[in-house]
Amino acid sequence: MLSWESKKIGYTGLLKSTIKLAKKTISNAGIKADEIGLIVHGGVYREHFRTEPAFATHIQGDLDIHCHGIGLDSQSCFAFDVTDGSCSPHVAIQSIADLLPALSTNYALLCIGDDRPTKYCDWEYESYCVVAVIGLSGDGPKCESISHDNSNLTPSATTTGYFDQIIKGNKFVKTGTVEFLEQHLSSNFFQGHQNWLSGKHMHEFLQLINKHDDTLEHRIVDRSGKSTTAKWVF
Amino acid sequence: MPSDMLGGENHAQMLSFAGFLPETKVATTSFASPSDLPRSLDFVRLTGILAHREVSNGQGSFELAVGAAKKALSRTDIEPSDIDLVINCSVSKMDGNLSQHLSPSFATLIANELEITNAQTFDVSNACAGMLTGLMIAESRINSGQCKYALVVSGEHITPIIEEAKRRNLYLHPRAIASLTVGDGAAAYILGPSKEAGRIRFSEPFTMAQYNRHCIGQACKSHAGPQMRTRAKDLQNGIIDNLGDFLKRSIDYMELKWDEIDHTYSHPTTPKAVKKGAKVAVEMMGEINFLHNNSAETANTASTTHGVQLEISQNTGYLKSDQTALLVSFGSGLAILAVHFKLPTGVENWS
Repeated sequence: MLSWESKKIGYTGLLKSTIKLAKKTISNAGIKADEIGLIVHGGVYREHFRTEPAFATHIQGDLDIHCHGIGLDSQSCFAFDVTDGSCSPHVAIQSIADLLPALSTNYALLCIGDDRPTKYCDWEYESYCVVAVIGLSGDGPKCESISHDNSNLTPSATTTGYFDQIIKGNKFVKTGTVEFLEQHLSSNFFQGHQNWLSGKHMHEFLQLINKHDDTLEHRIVDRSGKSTTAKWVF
Repeated sequence: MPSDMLGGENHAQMLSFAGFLPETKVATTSFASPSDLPRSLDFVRLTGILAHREVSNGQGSFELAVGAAKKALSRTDIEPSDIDLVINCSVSKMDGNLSQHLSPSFATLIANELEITNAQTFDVSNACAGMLTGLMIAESRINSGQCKYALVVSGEHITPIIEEAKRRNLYLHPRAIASLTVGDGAAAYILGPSKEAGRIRFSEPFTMAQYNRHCIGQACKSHAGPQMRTRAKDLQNGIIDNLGDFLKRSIDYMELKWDEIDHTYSHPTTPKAVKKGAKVAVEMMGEINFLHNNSAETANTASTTHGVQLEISQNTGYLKSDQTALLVSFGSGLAILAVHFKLPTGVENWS
């Protein structure tokens, strides 16, 4: 991870915040925007419960990265989204690690965050926008491995969008009862609160990076009970 | 199981695939006859779509996806417990009551239903290009040794956008007309390890984000269910204008010979659109050995179209072991990518 920025945002405005942070992050990495060849966004909630196109395509478009036709030797960028509840940041990092080596580019943009879908949605969350430039090489923190654990999964703990016929608006509802795990921090381990959104998990993790000079394990436990753990080396 | 981020040299192959369609068949003329449309548009003649499939009571994206996954699994000799990666690529994630699943990943619930207990599970969202994007990630995981068997699956319950479009005055909402071209369906692919390199190859993937607002799918603001608004002509021009160079570049990149590709499949927005694309492909690359343009009775099933078309070809007896197939995918955004693979051994014997 060559550079990164994160910021708390309001109920909405994820795209605007992402673009602002992306420009700063790309500049801090010492590269140009058109050197980015892969954009992966991770999150759960989108404005108006949008399903297509991928949010990452809007990021690519607003950053104007290779928004041109395909030529026989033109440069390119590929953009898509991944999601797995609060574990989405780790899935996004892993997807970048999967694809970046095979692409004709050295840099990817990692974007994490959620928008409150509609004004009718109860929104108990602090929304954070996180953007990072990931490179195939460099001196930044290195994500050495990501593991997953579904053994504590409660399949009935889901979140679903629906149309409320009484208020005539779209909302979401959570099912299942969850006793949330609190955040936990020790010398080389950090686990956020189980009810945080993806952006807050990554934001709080990034605040700890400068305080470590060896390794840090970052675990995210989703509301459903499943978890991912990323091992970072500094 | 920990996954090292970069691994060693392995190879992947397609072990099986399956398309799965709900039983109810709906004729296009039953909801889009000339009298229903602006300027008495002959929708069947314009698109080539004769019918589509729709879910029955209680079915949704989940049931369709599980149906496809079970069928794909039954065509291999591996057990659900052997699968260590499940990627879901559904755009809709819509149940029979028009609720949209958000969290955890749909793949988690599909794996749980199939008793796949040891797999990493997550969703990829890249509109109609989602399944090829998911396949690309799965292939990379197998190549790097992080996983052995992967299930890439999608179930699309998208026909509620037809109802949404019909509620509109299509004179005033021409961008809803493309919503009439869709159908419900599901697909699944199982990838596994191979000793042979090159059994599956991907093109460079492109997103032409200048088209990222040409097709928007989201919740309808006034009724239950989704809606889609499409600048169909502009989007199609975006594909047609770039398809020739994309194919030339991709065939070179994948180190293939165009005239040696046995079966070619495009993303069938409509059968007529596939014909237009084929004309461009022939002009740039030469004759196509076998273009499977067989969506006339299934319509556009979003991310699952290639799997559904492969299933029809298999059922018709066109596919043989170790022949090759090229799938070209387009998705809102505008994503373009392709995959070339050798058909699974024994494909002609699948039931």
